[in-house]
Order: sequence, then structure tokens, then C-alpha cells
Amino acid sequence: VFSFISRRIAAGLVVLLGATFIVFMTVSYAVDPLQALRTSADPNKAMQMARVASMLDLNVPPVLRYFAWLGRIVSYLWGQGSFGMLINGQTVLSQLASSLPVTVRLVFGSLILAIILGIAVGVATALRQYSAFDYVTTFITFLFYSLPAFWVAVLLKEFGAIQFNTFLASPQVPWPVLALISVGVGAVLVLVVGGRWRVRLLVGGVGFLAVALTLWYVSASDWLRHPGLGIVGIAVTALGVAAAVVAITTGFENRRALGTAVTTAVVGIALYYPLQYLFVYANGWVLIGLAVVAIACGIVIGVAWGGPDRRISARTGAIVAFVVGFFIVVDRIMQTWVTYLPAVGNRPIATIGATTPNLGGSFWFQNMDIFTHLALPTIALVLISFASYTRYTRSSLLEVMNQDYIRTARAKGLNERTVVMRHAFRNALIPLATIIPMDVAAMFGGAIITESVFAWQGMGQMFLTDMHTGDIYGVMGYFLVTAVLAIAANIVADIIYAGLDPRIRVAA
Amino acid sequence: MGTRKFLAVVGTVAVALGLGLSACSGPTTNDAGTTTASAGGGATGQSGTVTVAWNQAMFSMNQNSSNGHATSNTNIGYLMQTQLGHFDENLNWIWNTKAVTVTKTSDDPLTVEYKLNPDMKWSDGQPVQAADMLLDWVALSQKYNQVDSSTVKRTDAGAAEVASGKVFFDAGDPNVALIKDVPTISDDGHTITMVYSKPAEAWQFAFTTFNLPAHVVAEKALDISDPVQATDALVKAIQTGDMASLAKIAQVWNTSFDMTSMPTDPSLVLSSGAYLLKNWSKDYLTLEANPAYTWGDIPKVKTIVVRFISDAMAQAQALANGEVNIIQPQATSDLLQALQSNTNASVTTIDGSTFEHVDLTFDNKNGPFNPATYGGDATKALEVRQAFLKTVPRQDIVDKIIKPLDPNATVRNSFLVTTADPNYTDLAAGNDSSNYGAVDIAGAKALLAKAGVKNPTVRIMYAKDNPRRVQEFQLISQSATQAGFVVKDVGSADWGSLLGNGSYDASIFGWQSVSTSINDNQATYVTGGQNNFSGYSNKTVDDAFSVLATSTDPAVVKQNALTIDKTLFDDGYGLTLYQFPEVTAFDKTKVTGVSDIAMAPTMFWDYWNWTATS
Repeated sequence: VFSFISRRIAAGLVVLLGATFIVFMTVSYAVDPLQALRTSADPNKAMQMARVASMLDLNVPPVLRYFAWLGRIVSYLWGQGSFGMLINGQTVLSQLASSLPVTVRLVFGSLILAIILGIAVGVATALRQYSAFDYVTTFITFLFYSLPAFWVAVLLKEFGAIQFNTFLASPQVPWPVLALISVGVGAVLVLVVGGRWRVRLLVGGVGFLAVALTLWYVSASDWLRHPGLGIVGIAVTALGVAAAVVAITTGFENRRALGTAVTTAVVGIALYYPLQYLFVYANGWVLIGLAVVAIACGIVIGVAWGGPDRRISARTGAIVAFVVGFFIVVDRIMQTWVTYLPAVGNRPIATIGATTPNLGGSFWFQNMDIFTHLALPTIALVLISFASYTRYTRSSLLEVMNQDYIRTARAKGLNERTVVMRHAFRNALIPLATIIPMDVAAMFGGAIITESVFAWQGMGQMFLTDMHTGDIYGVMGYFLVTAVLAIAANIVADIIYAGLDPRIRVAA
Repeated sequence: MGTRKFLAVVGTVAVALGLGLSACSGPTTNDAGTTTASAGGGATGQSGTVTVAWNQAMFSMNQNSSNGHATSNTNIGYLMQTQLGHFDENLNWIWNTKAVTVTKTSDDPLTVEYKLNPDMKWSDGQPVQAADMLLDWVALSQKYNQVDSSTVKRTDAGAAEVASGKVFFDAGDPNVALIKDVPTISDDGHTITMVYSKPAEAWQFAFTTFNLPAHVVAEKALDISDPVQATDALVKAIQTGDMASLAKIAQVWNTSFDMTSMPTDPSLVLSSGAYLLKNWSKDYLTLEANPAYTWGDIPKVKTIVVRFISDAMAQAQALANGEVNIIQPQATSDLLQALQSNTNASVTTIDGSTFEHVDLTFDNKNGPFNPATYGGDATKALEVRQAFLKTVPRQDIVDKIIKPLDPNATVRNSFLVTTADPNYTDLAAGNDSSNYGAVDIAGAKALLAKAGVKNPTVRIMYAKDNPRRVQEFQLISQSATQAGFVVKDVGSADWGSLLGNGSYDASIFGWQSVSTSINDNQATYVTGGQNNFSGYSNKTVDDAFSVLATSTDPAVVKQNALTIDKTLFDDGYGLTLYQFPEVTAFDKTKVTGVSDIAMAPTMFWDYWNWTATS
């Protein structure tokens, strides 16, 4: 394995060298850093041009400039390196340092969401292959996949922010809209469920009623202006989560797992009010600590239920505890809504930037602000990127489902849930495990258009700005970071694949 | 069973605890904090917050260095630093008499006295004084510079790499450079007198703002902690030409004030004017009214937030969503449509400071407009130039390309001044631009026949990646072809670096003016000027510029400007097309009193008239 990794790193370095050279040359010849100054009638123009020229060593041929740049980067090996300077007198390093966290904050959540959503939809379409649901989903995901990012962003801002914020002033869902949405959800359910028509219609009908009632309640209670789950909402949600987790992971016939899940949910509900007092002192670290404690509690409860498969109970408990805790936190953030609305002029969903300037407020309040700013760019990114996960999951699951060992598993009498979740799904995830590292690496490159349209000062925006001003060292800094990450991700993906799939050996 | 009992106990205790606590209704919270409730106004009756969008982040506090001299810095500087004067809506120059009394005490030699209001203070409490202007003089005049800016090398840290002890101020201004002698400062330190070695047409614009606090620069450069002593040392170093000290001062002046976020050292962001800088990040900066400010127009808005948004459509949507209140994005028809659908928005369009024009090349090999092509027959070349220019559909270009953005747009009829300039009407009326008022294909054909040149080939260069210029090229090309010209498309995305290299016969691009000084145009039209990409040379123009440049009499300036403008049109130098529209929009439910002028600082020019209405 060691020789494999070192060989891959060596190859990566060669690729990196070639790629940086090509990029440096193309940018040098294609971009004119003096462009903006050439048509200036400023009496001081000559000085400004001289300054830019000496700043970027424009009098030196690009090839030599490349090696000078490379020399400065390599000097990092003995601690004297430099990423170079931007025309405006800032170091590229400081720009990278301030852009990277912004990008991570913007893209991380959407990446997780896209993966979860993509896998879920992918599994559903694979299990209902060639059904109406499969075709409709495929059509919709590809439609989103092919939409240009800037256009999606403009539409999202118009309907998701400008019109939605206006709607929030008196949030009454009109009857025709209510009917349309409920019927839509019911129809989708009818398509997804599959099986006999009586069951499908029944599920669809229940879904229709549930959505209609929820929307009616949201309208009638002015919920959108005073949202929150409250103790009742948390109780219902927690028990629902417990049931869902058990249904997916172990099945209801595992009474100990079911007991664990319900116990965990009840403990979570009981802790709802005590937690409110603890939340006064909350910050990011406290929250992470609470998540760890919650998972530990779930495990303890699972172990306490005992039995031969207490590991499975413990796992169920951990998942339930984490999810219930998550909803309690969500509820706490929702509580800030009432004070948040007037603070932002009753227009909560933001179209630009990462935060509202000079907002202040508590930890929860600021998190609410972060979420209202993240909402639209996250939706835009998820819509565009989740299609690929859907397709990978679908094809990979279909391939696994047609293999002999699945037939064997069915033949020996395992129920469908066990066959799909335990035998097929896990193996279907192996190809995805190799795609995700690369997507994570690509994440650090930022979402160029999304960042620009939503005015997030992240990596993508930095790349655009530097390209525009002709700041070649800025562009190279960006490229170096993304290229190194991409190469590293490739190596990691190979190792993961070998680790997960015993048929592959890295020593080859 | 042990475990069952244990679970029962845990469950009961937890439920009991929860129910017990649920009797009380949870902790009282104050999520919003106290920060948002700070309205109510200061002692001066300022109130409210106005949020402005600008397309680029501020990156330097030094507005006069060759790095910092950009609108993203100077606009903020306009709000933060005391201005000696400003342009009004008719582009007349108005002195800020509450801050400074400017007197031209002599015409020969031109002597200008600046008497400063002694009450003016920097935000650290130190007085704003003549030494601050002296520091700008020493930088902009380049009097002591020992290194030429075109040969200077930069270190990895961006600083100019000059041998130790050598002086290099990274700045320059041709007007200030005419003040060769060290200005004299009165004993009280509040009056400074500048003596010009030659009269300067644009002497008003030599000093327009208090840029950097001299005492801070001196403290940092000379390592003196007392501000008074530091200022004295700086003044002395300038008066005596102490190169060792000046070298250190120059280093600090050049780079210490370049940054992109709030520095830890507050002395780097001192204010001398209407607003104090409260915070500054990559996303936005916040300005708060300076309670001490009495030496100028007092603003009504307490807090101004400037958000940095590069995308024009994002600005328009942020305006519609109430996140920003004033925007000035790059104008496109999509953008205007978006703004017009916003019923809260008030939209104004004026002629901006960029003007589009067609230039002909006079000195390229075998060029159709070059007399040398016809064996030095200047008349023949002139006739070909005039013939070509007669085919340029100026009105058509404005109607098709600019009218959709600005229904009131007109053809610009002067090379020297903007349409909003006080002298524009007189210049446009007398400069023979009327010869090119309408397309005259027959006239062009007649001129070509007279010159005896058949189907000359004209290579037109323009920005191929700019759809507007592509459209202009197409309109010009269609029209010129009718008159018998063979038009060759040599448009390029690299057009900027091709300017002046002789590879084209006509070019379409835009100039961006930075002031109303007619002398600023000198570099474009005089023989061998830096911006003279056409190879144009005419002694009348050269002479008129040298008279105008050294005249302080507006009548003389205007007379010579007319001579130049007329000569340029008569010579077939090229044609002026239009000024690109500048769109300003504001949310009239949130702010009132916003207007725009063609010169920097554009929409910020009368910020003291802004009123926050909610």
C-alpha cells in the first residue's frame, strides 16, 4: 500500500506540474491585466500601468515568470514560500485564507443534502424501475441538472425570496394553491408506493389529507410568522423518527430495537424543557458536545435493553437520539423567528451575502440569519448537483439487485427490507464512496456562478475577480489549491475503493 | 430483570423532570440582543440606516496612491474624509467653504492659498492641518522621488523594492507636479500656500480631499509616539529634503494603508469627515455619522452600510428584496426591465463618464486614412477619412443600442467635454460636428470619387467579446459598404493591447473620463501623447493644448477647447458616438434625496441630502 501511495503521489506531482504550467501560460496570454487601465483618461495612468506591470512582472516572459512563481511555491518546503501578490497589494495567501471558509460554509451543507437526497431518490427509482415514478423523476432531475445556474438563481430569488417575503406579510395559503399542492403530493405518493392499486390509492389519499390539513393549519394559525414545534410537535416528531428509524434499519419484529428507539424518543421529549435552559449558554462547541452526549445516551439505552444483538439496539438508539436532538435544536432556532422578522424588516429570506450586516443577537439568532442566507444558494446547488447522485445510486443498485447473491438471499426467505437495505444497498454504495471524495475536493473550488450571483466572497468569486482583473497569482493560488485537493481526492478514492471492495487490490 | 428496572427508573425520572420543568414556560430569551434598537437619533438629529450596493470591495484607505486611486476606495473616502470641494449636478466645482477658504492670490506665478478651518479634527482628536496637505503634495508632486515608477521592482510583499534610503512615492498628479517649491505653512499650521512653476488649467482639482493623517504616517514611519512631535518631524523632513526620513515616510504612505478588512490598529482608518468607519469586511462596511463633524454639509442618515455585490442582476433583486436601498449597476436591458417591474424603485438614467467613439489611424502602413499611402497627399487622405466618417450611422447606433437603456440618450458631439458639462452646448454648436449629423452616403461617394480612391479597404478593430461593440461594428460596416468601402473585421478580445499597433485603420472603443479638466484630454490628442493611439498630429491642436494647460482663465480655456474640438472634427480624427448610460435606482420607501452625476463619486455626490424614511 505504501508503494502504491508514493507512486500515486509522484504521478500526481507530475500532473500538477504540467497542469499549473498550462494554466499559467494560457492565463498569461489570454488575460490582459492592463485592460481596464488602457482606456482610462486618468492623468496618473502611466504610473498605474507601471505599477501593475512591475507588480506582475509583465516585462518578464511568461515562461520565466512561471518558474519564478514555482520557485516561490516550492520554497514553502523550507518555510520561505509565497503565493505572491494581487494587484491591489494584498497577499494571495490572505485572500485564500478568507475565501476558503466562506466556500466551505456555503457548499458543505448543500453537498450533504444533495448526497442524502440523491441517494434516497436513487434507491426509490431503482426499486420502481421503469415505473411512471422512475420516468418522472429522471425527467425532473435531468431538467434541473441541465438548467444554467445563474438562471436558477434569478428565479429562486424572485419566487423564493422576493415574492415569498411579500407573502409572509400575511401568510394565508389560498384555497386553490392548497388544493394544488395536496393533490400533487398525493399523486406523487400514488406513483412512488407501487404495488396494488388499493394500497396505492389509500397511501395517496392519506398523503393528500395530511398535506391539506398541515397547510390549512399553517394558514389558520399564522404558523409561518410564529413557527416552532413546541413540546407537542417535538413529541410527535420524536416518536415518528423512532418508528421510521426502526422500520428502515431493523424492522418492527426486533422488539428490543423498537424499545430502545421509543425509550430514546421519550427521554428526548422529557429533556425538551431542561434543554431550553442549557441553550441559553449555547455556542458551536456546546452544540457539538450535546450531539456527542445524545449519541452516547442512545447507545447506553440500547445496551441497557440488552439481548444478544445489543449492538444493533445501540445503533438504533444513537441514530434516534441524534435525530431527535437535531429537531430540538431546529425548534430552538425557529423560536428566534418572531424577533428575527422585525430585525430584518419582515423580509427574512435573503438574496445576497452570508449574513445581515450589523445584526448582532444571540447564538440562535445569528444562526437563524445564517440559515436565511444559506437557504436559496443551498437550494440552487442541490437542484443542480443531486441528479448525478440519483443516477449513480440508481444504476449501481440495479446492478447489485440483479446479482446472484441477492437471489440467494431472497431464496433463503429474508424479507425484502433486509435484502435491500442490508445486502444490496451497502454494496451499491461502494461506487458512490469513490465519487464523494472527489466532490468534496471540488467543493473547495467553490461554486463559481452561485457564489457570484449570491454575492458570497468565496473561492469561486475570488477566481472570477482575479480572472477579471488579470491577477495571475491569485488565479494560480486558486488553481493550486483545487488541483492539489483533486489529486489527493483521487488517491483517497482509490484507497477507499480497495478498502471497501475486496475484489480490488491496490498493490497491483 | 435488572435492565428493565433500570430503564423504568430512567424513564420515570426523565419524564418527571420534564413535566416538572414544563410547568414553567422555559427561560426568557432576548435573542435579538440590544443592538437593533439603537434608532432614535444622535444629538444632531441623524437617524436611520441606508444600505448601498457597490460592485467592488474597498481595498485601500489611501485614495491618492496609484494602487488606491479607484472608485471603490474614493467613494468611501468621499464619505469619510473632508472634501475641499465637490462637483454639483451641473458639474460646476463647489468649494467646501466651511472647511477651507481657497484663494488664488496671484496669477503669475499662480499662487493658491488654502486656509483651513482650525476646528477640523481627525477622529482620534488630532487637528486636521496644513501638514496633511503637505504630505499629499510631497507624494503627488514626486518632488523627491529618486526611483522611476516604470523601473521599480516589487517585493513578494508587494512593496516597491527600492534601495534603502531611496525615496519613492507611488503616486503622481500632473497638476501637483507643477508645484515645484515646497509649499509654505503658516505658523499656526492651518494655512498652506502653493506656488505653481507654470499656471495650471485644473488647479482646483490638485487637492480635493484630506487623504491620510500626516501625524499617523509620521508616527509609524519615524517611530515617534507623540503626534505633535511626529508631525513636526514630518514637516521638517519635507522642508529640508531629508531623504532618509522621506524614504521611510514613502514606504508607510505607499503600503501601510492597503487592506481589505478592518485593521486591528484604529489609527489606519481615521476619519476627518462626515462618517466614521465602524467595521469593514469582504462583504460590507459600515459607516456611522461623525458627531464631531461641523465643517461641511451635515448628513441626515446616521448609518450607511456599503455592501459589495459584483453581479448587476443580484443588485437589482437585492433592491427588490429590501436588502439594499441604493444601487448603481452596469446597465443592460434585462436589468432595466427588472428595475421597472419593481414598483418601489425610483430609477434615473444619466450619461455616464464612459464615452464611445470611432478613431481613425493616421500613421499605419498602407492605411486608407494615412497620407503616406497616397504619396503624402494629405488632402486625398482627408477626403477618404471624411467620406468614411460620413457613413457612420451615429443616430442609428444611439437609437438601436442606447435608447433601449435610456430613452433620452443623444449623440455626443464633442471630443473634449461630457454632455452634462457647462461648456458642452457651446462647444457642440461651434465645432463642425454638424457635418456628421446624418449619414450621407451620396456625399461619401462624391468625396471618394473626388479623391480618386476606389473601394478602399478599412480594417475595423473593436472588442469582439463585447456584444454592444459587435453591434456597433455591424451598423458601421453595413453603412460604409454602401458607399463603396470594403470593411474588414479585425475585432479581437485582445483589443486593449492592440491599441496603437497599426494593425487596424479604425477602432471603436470607450474612454473613461475622471474629471472635467479639459487638459486631461491632452494625452489623447497631442502629438506623441500617451493615449494617442491614432498617430494623430496637428500643430494647431498641440499649440491650443499648451495654451489651455497653463491658463487659469475659463474664457481662454473655452476658446482653445473650441479650437481643438473644431480641428479634430475638421481633420476627420474620428467621431464621437455617445456616453454610456449610468443607471441609479433606489427604494423610495426607504430613502429619498438620491441623485446622480456623471463624474465620480456619482450617486454619492450629495449624500447629505439622503434621508432614511423608515
